[in-house]
Amino acid sequence: MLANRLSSSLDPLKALRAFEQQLNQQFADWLQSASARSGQGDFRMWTGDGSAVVEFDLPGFTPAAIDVAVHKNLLTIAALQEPVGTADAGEVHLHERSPVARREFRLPFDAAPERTEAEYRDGVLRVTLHQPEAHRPAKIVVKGL
Amino acid sequence: MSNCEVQNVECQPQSGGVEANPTYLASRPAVDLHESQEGWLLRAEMPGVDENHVEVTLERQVLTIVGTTSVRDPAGYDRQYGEFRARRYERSFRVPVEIDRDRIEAEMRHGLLTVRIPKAAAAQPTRVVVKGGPVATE
Repeated sequence: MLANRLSSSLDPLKALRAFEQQLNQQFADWLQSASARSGQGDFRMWTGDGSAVVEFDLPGFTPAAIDVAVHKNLLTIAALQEPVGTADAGEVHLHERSPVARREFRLPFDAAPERTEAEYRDGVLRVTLHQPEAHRPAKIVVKGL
Repeated sequence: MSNCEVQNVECQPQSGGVEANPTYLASRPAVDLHESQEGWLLRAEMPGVDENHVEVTLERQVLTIVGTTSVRDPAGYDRQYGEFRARRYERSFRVPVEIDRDRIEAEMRHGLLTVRIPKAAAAQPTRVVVKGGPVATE
């Protein structure tokens, strides 16, 4: 036991390892916080039969202030908040929100713009996109001779 | 309160924070906080939260906002990419003593929580009328 204590207290790398652990933990905390702030987690995608649903977090906008555009396989979202009123005048203690938002999203297929639907609910924009019928694989009936 | 992140403005949640519940993805809402002569205006982003799933509480001098979302998978689709867990937003702020607690208003709209915290009448600036002295006569 004494030998163990001695070897432990004499281990020159013990402090270094503790410092490394602490550094790793701080880096992990920072990474989690940075990821949350960068907006990387603010969209989700589902896929179905020749279609996809994409959700974006866009809190604080009005439906009329959100533009949704589709060109081939590129989905672009742009939004601008209404100007703040005079009631907001005064000292600013915290200012973390952005009045503009722009997202570009590459879809797994070229989408048909005329069949694209967008719905805004509780600050979340949900866009449903469909592959053009002409691009979808067609089932060929095999005739028997 | 010693656990304030920002002196006199923001505090750590009293409940132990959003990390206390692993069912939810912990989120710290982005916030704008303005102060005027009449009071404070707080706006917090909570996308996916409706008015039935948001709580604003004031305990002593700590104002806490909490909002939760639910998972809304579209029928007939498979999850492909992103974070699909329900989210729980939480943040706490220390407010000064001189507020009118009975007139605090909160509104949830388009995933944005707006809280108006009026200052108590005694804390609002008062304009003092400066009277003129007697006109000197020779």
